[in-house]
Amino acid sequence: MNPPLGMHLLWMTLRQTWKGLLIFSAILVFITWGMTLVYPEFLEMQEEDLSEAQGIKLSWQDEDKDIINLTWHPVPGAVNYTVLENNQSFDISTIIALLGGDPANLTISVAYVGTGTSLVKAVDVNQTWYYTVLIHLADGNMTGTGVVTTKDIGITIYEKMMEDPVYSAFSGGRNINIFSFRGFVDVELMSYWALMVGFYAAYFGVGSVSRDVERKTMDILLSTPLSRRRLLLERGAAVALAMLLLSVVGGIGVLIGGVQAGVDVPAGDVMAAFIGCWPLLVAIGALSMLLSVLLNDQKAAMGLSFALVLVFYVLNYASFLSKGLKSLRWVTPMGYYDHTGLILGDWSRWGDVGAMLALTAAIALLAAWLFQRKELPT
Amino acid sequence: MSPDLTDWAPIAAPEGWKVVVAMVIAKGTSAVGPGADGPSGPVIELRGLTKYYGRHRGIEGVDLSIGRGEVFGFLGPNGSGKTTTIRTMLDLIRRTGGECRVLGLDSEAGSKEIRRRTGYLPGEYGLYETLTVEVFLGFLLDLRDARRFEGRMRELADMFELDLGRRIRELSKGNRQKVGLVQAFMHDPELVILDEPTSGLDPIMQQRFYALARSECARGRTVFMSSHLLSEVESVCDRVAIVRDGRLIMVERLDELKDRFGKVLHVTFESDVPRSALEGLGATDLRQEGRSFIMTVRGEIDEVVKAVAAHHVVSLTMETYHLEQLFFDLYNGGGHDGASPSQGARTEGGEKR
Repeated sequence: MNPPLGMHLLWMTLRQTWKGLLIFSAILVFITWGMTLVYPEFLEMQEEDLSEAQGIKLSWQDEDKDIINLTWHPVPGAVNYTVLENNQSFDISTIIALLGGDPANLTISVAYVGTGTSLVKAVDVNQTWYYTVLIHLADGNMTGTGVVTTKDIGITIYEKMMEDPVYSAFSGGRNINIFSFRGFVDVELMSYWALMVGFYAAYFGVGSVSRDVERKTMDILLSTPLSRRRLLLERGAAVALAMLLLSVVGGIGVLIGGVQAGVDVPAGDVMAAFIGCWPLLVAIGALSMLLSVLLNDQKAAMGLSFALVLVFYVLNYASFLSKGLKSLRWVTPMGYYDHTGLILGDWSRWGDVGAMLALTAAIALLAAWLFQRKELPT
Repeated sequence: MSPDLTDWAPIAAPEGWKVVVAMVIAKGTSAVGPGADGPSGPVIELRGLTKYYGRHRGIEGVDLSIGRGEVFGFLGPNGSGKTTTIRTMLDLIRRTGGECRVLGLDSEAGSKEIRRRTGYLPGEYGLYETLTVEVFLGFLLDLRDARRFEGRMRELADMFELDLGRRIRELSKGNRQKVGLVQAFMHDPELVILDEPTSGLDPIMQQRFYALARSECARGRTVFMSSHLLSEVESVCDRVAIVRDGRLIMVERLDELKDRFGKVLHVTFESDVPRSALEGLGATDLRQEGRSFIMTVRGEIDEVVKAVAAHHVVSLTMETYHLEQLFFDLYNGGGHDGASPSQGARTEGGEKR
C-alpha cells in the first residue's frame, strides 16, 4: 500500500504511536463525557445558599439583619454543643490556637455551651461574624460542623462565584453563566483543555525527533535518501493529525455526555470550541519539535516543553486577572484560543487561527534550518 | 533496467547458502546511478579529511582513495576515529576541513544521492522494536522507493537464516545484526559502508557475510567496513587502512601486511626440545618458556610446522596478529629500528608519506 503523497514515515509514525494515542483519547473522552454527565447535578447547586455548611445553617432572625439565627443538626451521642464565634474567620492559626497552642492568639469567643441545637443572638452589624459548632461526644471525642458567616447569608454559589476574578479568568473574562450548559462546559472543561492536551502535544512533539535519537534509529533512518526536512515535515504532520484526533474525540465526549444528561446540546459550538484548540496544539507540537532539534539532551527538551506549556497557560490565565496584565495575552500562544467565544457561537476570530498557523510555519522553518545543520549525536 | 526478481525459482541447493549467494548476485541489477557501470574514478576519496568535535579531535588529515569493486577494511581500536570517518561520509556529521567525495559526489552537497546509492550499517543502532522484521525492512525499502528489491531482501534474509515474521523485540543480538546487514545490502547499493559488521554474529554467519561481501565486490560493488579485528579483515578485505588517534597510520594491501606481520605460533612439547631445533626456520622473535615456545612466522609456514612435528606436540595454537599487537609492533616492535607510523604509512601507490 502506498500512503498518500508517499508519506511512509508519517504512516509509520502513526503506526508506532497509535496505542498511546488511543489510550490518551480514551482518557480524554472519559473526562469530557464524565464531566458533562455531572451537569444535571451541578444545576441543583444553583440555588443553594452559601449560608448553609456541613450540619449548620445561619440566617437573619429579623429584617434589620442585626440578630442571627444559628441552627445545627443534632448529633446522636452528643453530650453538649459549643458554639464558637469569631470575627476573623476560622483560619488555620485560629484552629491551631484552639487545639492547645498559645492562648494569647485565641481570638475566638464561646457564644454558647449547652445541649440545644439553635442560637439566637444580636451581633454588631459592622463586622462579619463566623460561626462553627464543636460537638462533645459521650465517648470523650469531639467533632465539629462546617463554618458559616454572616457575609454569605442569602448569597448563592453563582452570585459568589461571579464576584471572583478567578472564575472570570477561567471563562476568558466573559463571566459566562456557569449554570448554562455552555458555561458549564467552558469553565469545567475548556478552561484547562489546552493545558491538558498541550502537555500531550509537547510530549508527542519532542518524541517525534528524540525517540529516534534515543533509540538510535536515526542513523539508519537518515542513511536512506529521506531528507531531514522531509523527516520533520512528516513527523510534524503526524503531530497535527494526532492533535486533530484528540480535539475531535474531546468534543464527542461532551456531545455524548450532554445527550445522556438530557441537555439540548449546541453541537456545532461545542465542536468549534474543541477543534478551535487544534491550531494552538499544533503550534505547541512544532515548538516542542524545535526544542528537540535544538537540544541534544532530550530529557531537557521534554522538561522545557512541559514548562513552556505551563507558562503559556499561567500567563494567559493571569492576563484576565487584572487590566494591567491584559497585554500578556498577546505574548502567550494560549491567548490565541478563545474557547469561551467559540462555545458561545462567536467563530469570528480567524485572526487567532492565522496567528497560530503563522507561528507554526515560522517554528517549522527554523526547526528545518537547524536540523539541516545539526550534527546527529551517536 | 529494472531487476526481475520474481521469476526466480528456488532450487534445491546442494551447496546450501553458497548457491543462494550466487543467485543473489546473479539476480541483482543494481540501483546504481548514471555512469556507475563505468570505472569512473574512486568510489570514496578523502583528502585531508578533518573533523573536530569542538576542541576534541575526531580525525585529522585522513587521505584515502578506494576504487570500485574493493572490499576495504578500516581498522582501529575503539575511539580511533573509524565511526567519525564513516558518519562524515554519510553527512550525519559535518567535516571541519578537507575533502570528502563519495561516488564522485561531495558528501554534503550530494548527500541525498549518495545515500540513495549507498547501504549503511551503523556500529550502534536501534530498530523499531514493535515491528516484525519484514515490516521494518519493507518500510526502509519504501523510504528508498525501492520496493522492487523485496525479492532480494527475502533472499538475503534466507541466506542469513533470518525469520522475517519475527518481532524485532524478540530477536537476539546476532539476529538484530542480521537485520542490520540485510537492510544495508537489500537495495543493491553500489557502495556498502559497514561499521563493525560481524559484531554479534556467530562464526557461520560471519562466513556467510564474508562470502556475500566478496561476491558483491566481484560484481563491481564496493564494501567499506570498519573493524577492530585484524582476523576479520584478513578473511575478506583486499586492502586495509589503520587509523589510530584520529590519524591514518597505514594503508596497505592485505597480503603485504600479512607478510609483514605474520602469525604467532604457540607450541608446547611433551619433552624438552632444544631451542636450536626451531631456530633458523624463518620464525622470528623466538621465545622459550620451559617446554613451550612462542614465535612469529612470516610468509611460508610449512617449514616451521614440519620442524615442530618432528617432536611430540602437546598443544599447538596459531594466532593471527591482534590489532593491539600490530600497533605495538608498528610503534615499538620490529627490532630496535622499529616500524614507525611514518614508515608504515603508505598511500595507494605504495609511496611512503
